[in-house]
Amino acid sequence: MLVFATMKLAPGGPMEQGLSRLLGGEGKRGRAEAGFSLSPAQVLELEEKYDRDKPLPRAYAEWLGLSPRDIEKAGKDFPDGAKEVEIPVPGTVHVAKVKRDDSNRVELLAPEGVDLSSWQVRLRTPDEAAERWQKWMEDVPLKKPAAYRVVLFRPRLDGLLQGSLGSSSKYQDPVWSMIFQRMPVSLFYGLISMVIIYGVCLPLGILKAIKHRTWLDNVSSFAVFAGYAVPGYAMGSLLVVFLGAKLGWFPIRGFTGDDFEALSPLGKVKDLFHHAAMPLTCYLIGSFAFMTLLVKNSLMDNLAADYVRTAVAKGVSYPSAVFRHAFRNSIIPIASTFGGNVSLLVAGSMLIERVFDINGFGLLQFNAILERDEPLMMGVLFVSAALMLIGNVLSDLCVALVDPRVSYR
Amino acid sequence: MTFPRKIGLLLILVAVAAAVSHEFGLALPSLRWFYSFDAEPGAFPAGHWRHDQGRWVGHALCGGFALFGLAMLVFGGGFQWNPLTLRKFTRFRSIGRGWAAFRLLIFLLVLALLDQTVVGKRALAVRYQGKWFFPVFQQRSYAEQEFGGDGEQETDYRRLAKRFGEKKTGDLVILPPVPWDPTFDSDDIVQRSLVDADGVVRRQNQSEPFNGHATRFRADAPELKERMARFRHGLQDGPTWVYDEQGQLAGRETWERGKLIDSKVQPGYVAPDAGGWIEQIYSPAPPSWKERHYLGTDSKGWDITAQLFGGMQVVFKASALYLLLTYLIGITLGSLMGYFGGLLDITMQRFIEILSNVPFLLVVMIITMNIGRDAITLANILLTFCVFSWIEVAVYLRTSTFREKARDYVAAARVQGAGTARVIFRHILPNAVSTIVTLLPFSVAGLVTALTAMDFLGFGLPDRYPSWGRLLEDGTSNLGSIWIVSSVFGAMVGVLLLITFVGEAIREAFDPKKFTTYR
Repeated sequence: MLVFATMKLAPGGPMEQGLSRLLGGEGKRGRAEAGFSLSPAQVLELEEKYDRDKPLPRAYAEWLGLSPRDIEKAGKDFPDGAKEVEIPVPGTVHVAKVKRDDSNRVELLAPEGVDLSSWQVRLRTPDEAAERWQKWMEDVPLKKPAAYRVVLFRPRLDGLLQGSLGSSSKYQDPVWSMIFQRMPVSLFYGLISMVIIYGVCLPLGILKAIKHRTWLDNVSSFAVFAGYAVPGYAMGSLLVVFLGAKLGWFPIRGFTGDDFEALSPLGKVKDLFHHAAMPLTCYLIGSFAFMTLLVKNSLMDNLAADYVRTAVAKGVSYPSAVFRHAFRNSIIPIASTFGGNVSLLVAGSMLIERVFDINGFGLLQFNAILERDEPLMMGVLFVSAALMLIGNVLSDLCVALVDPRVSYR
Repeated sequence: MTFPRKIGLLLILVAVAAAVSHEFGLALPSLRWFYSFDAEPGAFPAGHWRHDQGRWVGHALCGGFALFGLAMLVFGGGFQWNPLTLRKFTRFRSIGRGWAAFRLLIFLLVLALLDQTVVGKRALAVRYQGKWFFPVFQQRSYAEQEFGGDGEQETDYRRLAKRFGEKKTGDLVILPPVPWDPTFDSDDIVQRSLVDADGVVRRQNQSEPFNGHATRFRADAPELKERMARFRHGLQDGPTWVYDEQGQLAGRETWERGKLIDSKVQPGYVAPDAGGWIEQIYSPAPPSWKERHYLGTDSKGWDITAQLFGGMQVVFKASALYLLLTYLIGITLGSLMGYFGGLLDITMQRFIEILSNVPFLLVVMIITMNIGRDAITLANILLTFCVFSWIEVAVYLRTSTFREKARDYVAAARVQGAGTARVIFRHILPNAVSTIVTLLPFSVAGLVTALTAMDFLGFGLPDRYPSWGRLLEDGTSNLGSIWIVSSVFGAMVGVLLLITFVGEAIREAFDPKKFTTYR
C-alpha cells in the first residue's frame, strides 16, 4: 500500500509544474509587448534571459534534469554581412571568436591557452528570429530583417533529478537555500500549534465522548464550532488592529523583534513568544473542531461496540474500559490524519504569514507569485506537493504503527 | 400541487417578469440581473449583434429559466416526497440552533434579493412639483436638470435630498436605507461642524478639546475656503492658511495657543464673514449616522455598509453558481465511476489523486495572476475553484453508488428491463444522493473563505465587485481605522457561523448517531 501510494501520487508533483510553466509562458508575453520599439535582437535576448527560447517539453525536461540546461549563456548578433563575431565568455575575462559559414554551421574559436571545451555555440538564423518575433509580437510587423545571432552557452544537467531547483530569477539565490532559510520559521509555528492541538483535542474529545449530551458537551461544541467558523487571517486582521495597533499589547509584525540579536537568551525566548502569540492564535482557532470531533466520534463508536460491552460485563471498570479498550482503537482514525500535519508544519499558512509579515515559507510562496519569479514558483510548488506526498506516506506509516491489523508486507 | 411544479411555476413567473419588466424599461431588484451582461459601451458598432448583447443574453437566460420551469411543471406531476426525507427534514427543524440559523440565512438571502432598494445611490421615489418619479426602478437615469438642477449628468439624489430639504417646497426624495452604491461611489470629503464654546473648539457631543485641522468657509460663498487652521487643545496653534475671494492662498499666519503671533497675509486683505469651524474628514471616515455612513467608509471613501451588502450578494451569487457546477460535475462523474467501475474508475481515481495533491490556493493564484487582475470575472474564479472542488463530491458519491449498486432493488430494476441511464438516474441516484446534502453547507463555507482569501491576497476579483476580502485588506493596512476590520470581521464570521450551524444541524439530521454506552 505504501509503495502503491508513493507511485501513484508521485506524478502530482511534475503535473502541475508543467501547468504552471505553460501559464508562465503566456504571462511573459506582456513583458515583451511592453517594449516600445523592440528590435528582433532584443526579443531574442529577452527570450534567452527568461529561458523562453526552447519549446515547452524541452524546458520541462530541463527543469526535471533529463536534458542539459544552459548554466550560463550569452548571445550576440553578427554585424551585417560579417562571418565572424567576438563574444565575451560569461564569468571570465576571455573573449572568444565565433565563425559561421554559409551552411549555417558555427564554430567556436577559443583564445590561445584557454580551454573552452565545456562551452557550445548555436546559431539563430534570421528566419528563426522572424518566427519568434511573430510569436511574441503577433500583429506588430517586423521592421527590418534580423541579423544572424549566435548564442554561447555551457550545458549541464541541472534539474530536479540532480537535486537542484535552479536559482531565483529575481534574487539569483538558489531556490533550495531560499526555501531552507524560511523553513525554521514555519517549523516553529507548526510544531507549537501541533503540540497544542493534540494536547487540547485528545483530552477534550475523550471528555466530550464520556459526557455526551451534557452541558459540557454542548458548550464545548458551540465553542469549537464558533472557532471553526472564524477564518484565521480574518482573526489575524482583527488582532493586529485591536491588540496590536490599538492597545499595543503585542508587536504587529515580524517573527522576532529588530533587536533580537542583542537580547539575552531569556529575553530572546520572551521576544519570540511575544511575537508568536497572535499568529499562533490564528493558526489554532480553526483547527480544534476537526480533531476534537474526530476523537469524540470514533471513541463513541467504539464505546458502543460489543467488545466494550463484553469487557464491562466481565467486570472491567469503566475508566479502564474506556482507556485500555476503546481508546486504543479510536486512535486509528486520528493516526490516519496525522500526516496532514506535515504540510502545516513546514509550509505554514500564506495568509497568516502575510497578515503578520512573518518571513516564512508561506510568504515566500506569495512573493514568488507576486514577483513572477518562475524558478522559485516551481520550487515552492514542488516542495508543497512533495510535502503533501510525505504527509500521506507518514499517515500510512502511523496507521500501521497503531493498528496491528494493517501491515505493508 | 407537487413541489417541483411549484418551483417550475415560480421559475416561469420569474423569467416572464424579468423579460416583461426589461422590455418596459424597468429595472426591478434582482430581476435586472438577467439583463446585466451588456458589452462595453462603444466596443461594437450599432449593427453588430453584440452591440446589444445584454438584451439577447437576457432573453436567452429568461428563456432557459422558463423552459426549465416548464419542464418541471410538465414532468413534476408524479413527484412524492420520500417519507424518509420528510422525517429528516422534521428532525432538522427540531434542532433549534440549526433551524434558527437557517431562517436567518433565508432572511439574509431575501435582503440580498431586494438589491438596490436597500442599498444604492438612486432614490426610491422623488416627488418633484407634485409628480412622482421612481428612479430606482427605471433603466433610464434622470439628469440633474429634470429636477431643477443644472447639468446633464445623472442626478445625485443624496445632494437632491439635501437641496429639497433646504428649500421646503414640498418636494421630497426618499432614499434607500443605505444611500450608497457598494463600489465606485464616494461622496465629497465628509464635513463635520465643530462647536466653539468660550473660544475653545470641540467636536459635537465631545467634552475634550479638538486637535487637528479645521476649515472655515465664506458665508456668502460656502464652497470657498476662508481659512484653514491647525488646532491643539481646542486653540489655534501653528500655521493658519488664509484664502482670498477667488479661493487662492492669500497668506499665512502663525498662531500659538490661540494668539496670533505672526502674519504674512497680503496687505489690504479684509476678512469676510465666515461660517463656523468645520472639520474635514478624509477617508477612511469613522461611522456616522448623520452622513448615513453607518459603519464608516474605507480608504477609498466607499461606504462599508454598502460594500458588506454587495459582498454578501456576490457571495450568494457565487455560492449558487458554484454549487450548481460542482455538484453537477461531481455527481455525474461520481455516479458514473461508481456504477461502471473498472478501467474508467481506475483512471479517474489516478486523475483525482493527482489533482488532489496540487496545492490548491497556489495554483489558483498563479492562474488568476496570468489572467490579469482586471480581466477576472466571478465566473473565471468559480470555474478555477470547480476544477478542484468536484473531487470531494465525486469521491463521496462513488462510494455510495458502489453500495447502492449491489442492492436488490437495482437488480430488480434491471430484470424488469430498465436501461443503464434509467437505473443510474432513476433508481440509484435518488438513494445515493441524499447523504450528499450534508456536504453542501461546508462547501459554501469553504467557498466563502476561499473567495475572501483570494481577494485579501490581491489575487481575486477586481474592484468592480464589492468584496469582503478587499475590505479586510484595506482595514489591515489602515491600522488606525478599527471600524473597517471590526465590521468586516463581524459580517464574515457571522455568515460563516450561520452556515456552520446549519451544516452541523443537517449532518445531525441526516445521519443521527444513537449511541449506547455500557457502564
